[in-house]
Amino acid sequence: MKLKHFLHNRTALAGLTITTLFLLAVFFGPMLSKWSSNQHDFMNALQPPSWAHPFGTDSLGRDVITRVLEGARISLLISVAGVFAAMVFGITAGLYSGFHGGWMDVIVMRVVDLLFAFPAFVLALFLMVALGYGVTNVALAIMLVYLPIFARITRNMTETVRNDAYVQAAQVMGQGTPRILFREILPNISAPILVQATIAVAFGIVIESGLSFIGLGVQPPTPSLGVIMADGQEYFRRSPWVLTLSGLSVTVALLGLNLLGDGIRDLSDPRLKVRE
Amino acid sequence: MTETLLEVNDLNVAFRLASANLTVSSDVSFSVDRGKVLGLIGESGSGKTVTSKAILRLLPKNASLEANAIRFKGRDISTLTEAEFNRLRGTELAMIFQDPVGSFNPVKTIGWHFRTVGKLHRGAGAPRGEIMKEAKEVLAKADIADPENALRKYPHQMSGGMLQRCLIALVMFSKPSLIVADEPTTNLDNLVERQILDLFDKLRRETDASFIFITHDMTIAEMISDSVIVMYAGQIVEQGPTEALMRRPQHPYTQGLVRTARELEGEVETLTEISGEIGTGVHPENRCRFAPRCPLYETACDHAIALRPVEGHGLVRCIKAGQGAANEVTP
Amino acid sequence: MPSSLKYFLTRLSGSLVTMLVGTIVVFLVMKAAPGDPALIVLGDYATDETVAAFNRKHGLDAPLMAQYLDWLGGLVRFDFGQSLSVSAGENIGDLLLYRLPNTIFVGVYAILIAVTLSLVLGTLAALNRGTTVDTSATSLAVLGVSMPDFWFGYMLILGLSIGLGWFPSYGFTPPSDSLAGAFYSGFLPALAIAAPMAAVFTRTLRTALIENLDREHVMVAKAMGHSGRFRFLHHVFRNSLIPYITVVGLQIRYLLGGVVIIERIFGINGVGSLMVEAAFARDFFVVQACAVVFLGIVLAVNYVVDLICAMLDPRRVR
Repeated sequence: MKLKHFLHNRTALAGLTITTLFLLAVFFGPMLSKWSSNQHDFMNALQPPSWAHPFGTDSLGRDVITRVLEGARISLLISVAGVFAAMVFGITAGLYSGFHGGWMDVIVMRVVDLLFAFPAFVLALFLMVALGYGVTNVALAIMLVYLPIFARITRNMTETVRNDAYVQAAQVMGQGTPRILFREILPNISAPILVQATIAVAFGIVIESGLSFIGLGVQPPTPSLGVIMADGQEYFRRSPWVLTLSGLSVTVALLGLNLLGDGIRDLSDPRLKVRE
Repeated sequence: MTETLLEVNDLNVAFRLASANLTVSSDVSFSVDRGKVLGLIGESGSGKTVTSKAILRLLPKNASLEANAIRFKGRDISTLTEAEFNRLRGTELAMIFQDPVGSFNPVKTIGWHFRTVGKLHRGAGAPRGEIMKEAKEVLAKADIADPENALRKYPHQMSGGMLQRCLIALVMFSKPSLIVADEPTTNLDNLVERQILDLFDKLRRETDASFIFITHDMTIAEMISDSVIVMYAGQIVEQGPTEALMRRPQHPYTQGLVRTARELEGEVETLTEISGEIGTGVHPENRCRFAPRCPLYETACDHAIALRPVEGHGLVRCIKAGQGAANEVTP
Repeated sequence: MPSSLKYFLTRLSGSLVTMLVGTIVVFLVMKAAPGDPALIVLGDYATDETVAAFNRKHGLDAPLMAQYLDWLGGLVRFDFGQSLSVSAGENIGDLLLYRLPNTIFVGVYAILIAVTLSLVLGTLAALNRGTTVDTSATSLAVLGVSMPDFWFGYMLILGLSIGLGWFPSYGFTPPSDSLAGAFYSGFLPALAIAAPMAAVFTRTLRTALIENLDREHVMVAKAMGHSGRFRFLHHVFRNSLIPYITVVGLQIRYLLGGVVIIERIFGINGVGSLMVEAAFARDFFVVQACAVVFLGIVLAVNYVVDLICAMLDPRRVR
């Protein structure tokens, strides 16, 4: 993947820009804000958006935009943690099982099939009941939702390239299996995995928001996007901006991530290019 | 009775690209008589496929086609609307493509292809039984051993050679008058290639359809065609009756091609190479396009060269033609 | 064709095995969950005797394997046991029976909307590739995938319900009461679930159509004289159905997840909202049952989709 091509692709560029801005806002924004995310101000509760409070205030008078930025950071970190763990385990499982085949492959794929058979959110919900609520468990749930996806993609692609020349050359040269898997095969199949990773982080945020929204994920007062939206839902009719704007922030973040993923996919799959 | 079936005058084909207009075929004029085979020879990029696709209006949307006239059976078809022209496709004008495997819809049976073409050309009310009966007949003529079974099969269940036969049968099914065959044997292995060529020869003799047979292989062209057009870089460089052209080619490019073909047949040790490659992109308008690779090049070649008739040969686009510079290349 | 029958049977047995293993996993995980069913029902201050009696009554003191087999046996007979806390004592099977049709109704409604939207948008985008139409459709699709569905649900409520007053913002008329009422009250929830799915379907269809438009057999059909409509329908669209339907099938996994929250928001009495209520009430039996129901639906749909794809593509069943 060449950097130059990447920057020329409008989708990837847009995605990268939005995502970068989002990340900057999320990591540095709260510091720049004069409000703290837990600062109560009952006098000014439920104010619509204004210069002082670009996103308005919530029922406890807290500045919403500060909360949203901090919440976005937390949601993002949870999702990234879950997806990262899913990648570590899923990719490893996929590499080994695609490479060796045999009974290991069968078992791994059966487990993957099983995890796949549960609807994503239902699986997450189920795990929250089983494990209890809280930040770490949400990440764990996200990990289990995405582990099968990464395992399957990696395994299918490993199987395809398993007999390619460079792999066999490495084997002939006596390189150990881990080296072959991680140094030779993985870099060559990384593009679709990266695309999937951006989608996974994006949807991981949705899963976290969803779980927290119904109260089974991150628990207040820790702000996560889902918690803020749950808050906003209570007085939605009177003051819709809390829910609307916090959800909009999620949408923007996801837009950036999806465009980024799309851009990577466009660049790595020549068939999809628009021909002149 | 020689009747001119197709007459093409001054065909120019260009592609509208984002950056510029790319002319891929210019000043192409030729004619095909009823029952005759015209061989169209050239290497990749010569414009041979584009020219033939242009006749059938199968070019992509960004192609522009200009011609003085394209007459089929006396009628100028270049002025027809798309709807009117479409009625000619398959019924009068047909094309056989290079890749038989890709030419069939992989999720449909061979029989489905015949059925739908049959209904299209004979009317929606045409009885299915009759269509299938004729399909089996034409498949048998194309040397398919078990037509009944073949109709029930899917493309992936047949070999390339069998599929090419089915494709030929499908094209002949509606009895078109002119068939363009675009390198129909290139993707097949040698033994099968021979069989398909024999099939073409048989069809040529048994029907009075005319063929434009596109190939890059001189030997095939010699075997199968009555007259030949040699294209280079979008222009016709030589055209004439096959035998004369093969025996004494006038254009240096043709000479190179024929020499190579003879050498391949005679299995010499070193093949004489025509050095260089066709360039891509815009070709120079005002000089001989073959000049960079021509052993006979001189400065006089640096202006636009027209096709000139040469006694006993046909038309040649070279200032050296007919001056005795040609070699007699006998087998 | 005996070979295809064999394929279908093999797939079926595979699904059944997965289902079985799924029930084992669900059961074991629920057992490992924090919380004692007896205490949940009887309260934290229940005496040891009442707890023991409770456990005896519900077979909770039996060895794990026996409990599982008992539960499994019940499942096969569609006896899911009794609710602990959501609706104490009530037969879970009855609860599910009442709620399942609602979930299925909204789910199917959502798929219909998503498929219709995507067929139109995807075709328009592919046939007008590179133009504004295409860019708009694709942008809409990216947007659709980026919105959390429950947020979109609220936006719909804001716009179409509170704002324009066209649709109710809460409450659902079950189809058993009134089919028209169900379609009316179910429109917003179905649309909310459908939007992200429609986005994915549109992208898939567009990609598949574009790929197939370039195939040689389409050109050959043109050379034969087939009309543009014929070529599109039988050579391009028909060949794009397989990846399209595959993706539709895959999205079921997402769909059922989305249903859960949407049911909560719109007040639909479905299996999803039941599961959430049960989660809050720590009603393990109901949670188990819901999980198994969802598992069953996904496996059944996957199986049907596989069947359809195998029929559409003669190259697969060999």
